[in-house]
Amino acid sequence: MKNPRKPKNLLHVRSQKLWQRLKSAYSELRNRFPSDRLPAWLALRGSDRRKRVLMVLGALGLVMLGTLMWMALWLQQTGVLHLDESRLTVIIDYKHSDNSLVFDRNGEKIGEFFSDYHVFVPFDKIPKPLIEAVLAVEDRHFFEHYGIDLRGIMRAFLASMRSRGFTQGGSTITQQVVRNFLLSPEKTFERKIKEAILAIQLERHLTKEKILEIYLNALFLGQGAYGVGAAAERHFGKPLQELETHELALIAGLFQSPSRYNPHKAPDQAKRRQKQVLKAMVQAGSLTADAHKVARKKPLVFKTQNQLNTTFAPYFVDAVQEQTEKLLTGDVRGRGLRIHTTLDVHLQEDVNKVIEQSKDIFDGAASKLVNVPKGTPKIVETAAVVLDHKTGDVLAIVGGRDYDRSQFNRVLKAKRQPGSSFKPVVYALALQSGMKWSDMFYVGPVVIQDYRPRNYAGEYLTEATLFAAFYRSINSPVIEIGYRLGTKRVIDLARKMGIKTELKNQAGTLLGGSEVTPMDMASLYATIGNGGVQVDPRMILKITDRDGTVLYSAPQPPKKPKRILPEQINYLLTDAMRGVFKYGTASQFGEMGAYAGGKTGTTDEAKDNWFCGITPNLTAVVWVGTDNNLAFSGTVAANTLALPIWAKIVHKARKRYPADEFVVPEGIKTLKVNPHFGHLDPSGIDMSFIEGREPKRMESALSVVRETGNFRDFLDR
Amino acid sequence: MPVRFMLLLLACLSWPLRAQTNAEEQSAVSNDSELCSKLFAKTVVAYQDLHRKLPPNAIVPANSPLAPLLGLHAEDCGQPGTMELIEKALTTHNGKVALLLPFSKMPKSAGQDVLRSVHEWMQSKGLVPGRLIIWRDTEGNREKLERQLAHVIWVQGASIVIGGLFQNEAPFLTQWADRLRVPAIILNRRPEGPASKYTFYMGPDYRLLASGLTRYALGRNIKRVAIMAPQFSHDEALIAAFRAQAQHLRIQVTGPLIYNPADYSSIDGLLRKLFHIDDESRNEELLELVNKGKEAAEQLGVPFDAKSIVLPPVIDVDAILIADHFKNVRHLSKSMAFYGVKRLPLLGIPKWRAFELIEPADENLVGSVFVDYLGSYKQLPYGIQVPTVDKEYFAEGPAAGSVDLRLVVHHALFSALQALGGPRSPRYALYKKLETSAGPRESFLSGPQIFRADHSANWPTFLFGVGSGSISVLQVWNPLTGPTRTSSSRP
Repeated sequence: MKNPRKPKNLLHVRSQKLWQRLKSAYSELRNRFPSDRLPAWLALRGSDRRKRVLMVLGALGLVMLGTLMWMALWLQQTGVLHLDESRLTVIIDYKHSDNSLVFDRNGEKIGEFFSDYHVFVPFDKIPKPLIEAVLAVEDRHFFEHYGIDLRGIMRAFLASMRSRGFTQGGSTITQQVVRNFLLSPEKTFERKIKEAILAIQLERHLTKEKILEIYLNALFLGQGAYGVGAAAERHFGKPLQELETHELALIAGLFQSPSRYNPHKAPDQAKRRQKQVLKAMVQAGSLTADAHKVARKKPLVFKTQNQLNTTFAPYFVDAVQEQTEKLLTGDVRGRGLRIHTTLDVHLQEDVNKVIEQSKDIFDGAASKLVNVPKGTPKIVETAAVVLDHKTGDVLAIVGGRDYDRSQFNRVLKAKRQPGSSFKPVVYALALQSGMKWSDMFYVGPVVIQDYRPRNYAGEYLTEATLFAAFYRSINSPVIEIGYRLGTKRVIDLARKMGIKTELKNQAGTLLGGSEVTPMDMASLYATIGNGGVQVDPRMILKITDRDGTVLYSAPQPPKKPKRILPEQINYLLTDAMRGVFKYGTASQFGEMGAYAGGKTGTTDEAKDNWFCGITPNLTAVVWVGTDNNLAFSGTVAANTLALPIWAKIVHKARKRYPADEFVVPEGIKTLKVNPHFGHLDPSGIDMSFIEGREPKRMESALSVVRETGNFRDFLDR
Repeated sequence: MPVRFMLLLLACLSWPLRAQTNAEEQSAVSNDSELCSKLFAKTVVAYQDLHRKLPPNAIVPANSPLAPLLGLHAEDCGQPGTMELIEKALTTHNGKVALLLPFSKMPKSAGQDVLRSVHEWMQSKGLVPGRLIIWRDTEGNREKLERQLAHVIWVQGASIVIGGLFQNEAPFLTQWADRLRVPAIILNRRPEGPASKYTFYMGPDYRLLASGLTRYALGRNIKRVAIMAPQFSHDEALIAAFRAQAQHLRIQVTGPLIYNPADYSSIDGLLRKLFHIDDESRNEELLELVNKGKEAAEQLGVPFDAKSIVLPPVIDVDAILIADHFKNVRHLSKSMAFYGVKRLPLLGIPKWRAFELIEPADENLVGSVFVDYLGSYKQLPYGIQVPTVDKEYFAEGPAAGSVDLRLVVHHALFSALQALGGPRSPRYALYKKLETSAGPRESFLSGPQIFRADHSANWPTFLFGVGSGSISVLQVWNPLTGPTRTSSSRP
């Protein structure tokens, strides 16, 4: 790029004045010692005057020689004369630092990892006004000099003389690059010399454009940003290409002193500097007076931070970073990785919105918190995760209501009691061991080894089929089944179905008394959703370096999938989970039973409220509670807290991921069965059975008791 | 052939009785005006009263032997021929059995069961409706009962009346039967009090059932029995009989302890009291347990739940009689297990007998017993067949209730028609034939007499033992043949 002749700037004017002064001093000297008289002087052989002159000149020459020798010795001593060009390799082979970028499943950028914030912009993508602005204030003759600008040096030298120290740099952009990469920032003569020599050498190796590209991308520009691309995002919250001249001028002004002109810390000074830059641009001829007028009046709007990581899926991005560090070992920031994830940013935004719009639910629940210790904030938290259970892909994660307030990812790290949402494991084992949905239970108090769980709302003196016990979430039959089958077997099955957190080998585990993470539950339900085949949730699909070399690729699904539950048993379980919507604890969303199944989970005093469920292609889990394990009073339960949120999430997710109906495997028979007593009943509800294991009885004495209030009461009448 | 033979046999058996009755009655209707006045005051007036119950459109046939009674007055006893008129009226009947039952309105289901049972009976005997058996709908209320009774007596001239399915009807029918000297078979159990001459009770007798239980208790050396019963139980009579018999046998009885079967806290409270869970004298024991629980919770690092601490039960009874149906028994058993009361023998009543008593199995009930008046459902008399569950001892669902009714109705019709068979007796003398009628052969109801001396029916008592997922007959008491041990351990 050629820098055309431009109007003089302030510094130029000053140096012109100085030049004028020197010229007048020289004129005065000439007037005192006219040059026409000098030959006469010199011709005076043997005269004293001539001797004196020669002696003075000789002395001066000796002084100059000495000085030169001293300088040579000094330069020798400081190593300036032996500067190795190989030192420039750092700059010549410079590879720009690059943030590691995180992409969603559709290639949209959702996050980036960095220690220093870099956004590399190739030279041809850098806006022209920015280059003009930078050159105007930093190195107007960049395209004319060979690394050093003698006029600039002179100017700086004079300024330094005046102030008796090195106050002005006068460095070219090339010098600045050299300084930033190779030298210390201290202002010494020695460094200046080195800087000049290396700058000249650098210019022999790199083109002007390359040097400028390095300069514009590598230098610190405040707010942790390195380079103009990063500065644009950090100061203005948008890509460099979207900045206008008045904003670019501000960025150009930052090179001189990024901290002094940091717009977030010193907006007034930043504005002043921006004005200087704009003026310099006018002087340099890169900005018209009219455009200058407009640009300086335009307001500058600064964004306080880069929000990409916190915009869409902050908890997910955190988790991806953690996983990537495990996979690739070590810090992944600034390594320029391209991490392709399973997240669907659009679904994530939907889920985010649902959580935001559920504020009323959270606030309502917060008002029902009881026994809150003094000073403890009444904050109701949540966690939500949506999986594609065919692949295990995590499509959306909400680790908490407010990332700014708490970065704790509850989906992956909060260990909470799942309550009744754990029961499908027990029921799966019961069905596997030969029980059927029509098997009847007398619902009463139970005790196992001094463990005395209570039914929700103290529901006793009733009867229920296994099916009804499931959808009504009655505790005592679960304890009876678990006791009969063995807690250890239940725990083993839970582990196979996806629970990674260690479960306690005690009766309370049967009712979800052992703490797990929401992701554990998502994994467990995903196995059911996937037809009984184990699913490992995954968040990362592929990691490449910036050149596209694949560093990690998610394992392909095994050719022989690991079946945990027989297909038919799994279908029976799915059917019962749909029953939860149709007849049970989620019946307020009864219509969802047509395409979804799930289970509520409410622990003692509603400290934990869960809804875990599936559609034919998705698994979703929602937890609501408090970080301090606080208790709720009143009607707070899973179906008033977690379920409505779950329903909204699934409603939105289904629009993006439509699916057919649940697949019914062969050998399944659906019959109308009395939900209380388990006999065939035309007015009963639909229950599924494995053919050959269906109920046969048409009547039950319990139906008689229910209808008449008595049995064989002939003697009573 | 067997029917003809039976009728012939009945006729032969009843001949001497009939002759004797005639002699007695003839003497009663002598021209002695004092006797006439007595008869008039007790019986004729009753007929006249009953006539007034007839609906306005009902027409008494002109040739009805009862018609002359309408214009009769007490002073007419002095007139010659009055006694004959009365005798004829009280003697003559049409040889039919009239059933007065609630076939409609509430509670009609039982009435419908009975009606079905009647049809079943007639079909089995090849009878045409109206020939030997007539029926009228009482709608389950007294006024309608009396109107229908008036109709079957005055208009149709029925010989024996069967009714009183419900206890609210039975006393009125009994009252009228005695006043009218018309034999009545009440389809319910015999109430306390003196026996009625003309009324017979076909319902199984709770005293026999109570006796079965007390005998079992005595045999097992059970010395202390608690009785538990639901609120508003209809089994007070059985409880009272058990209590009386047990005390007679020096068995200490506690209760009845009454609970509300719809309220768990009621049952819970009662059990805690019965097993001394909350006795103040056990406070120190409780404190010790609480401290141990706290320590254990601390060691496990789990929160201490005071509600999970329950003192072990103090069991100071040898058995508990639960006078309730199987469903509540199951719930009570569960609650007992919750408090650590395991396999304490429970004594039960016929309402226990349902498949759902043992299914799903409850180990806590193993060793318990209950009594019933029915044995195997596969050996029912009168060709009655019911669907069963688990072979022979459980009838399917509502069949268990209806078979009781069917059996009683069949048994009542059998005895009534048996009384009407053979040489015709005057109506007022039919009760004698009922007193001596014999049960059907080859069933657990077989025996020389259907009714006992107090006119209650002779039902056997079966003692069933509850096993793990099954019941078995432990003992059978036939009132006439005495106790029989059975080798059957599994139905």
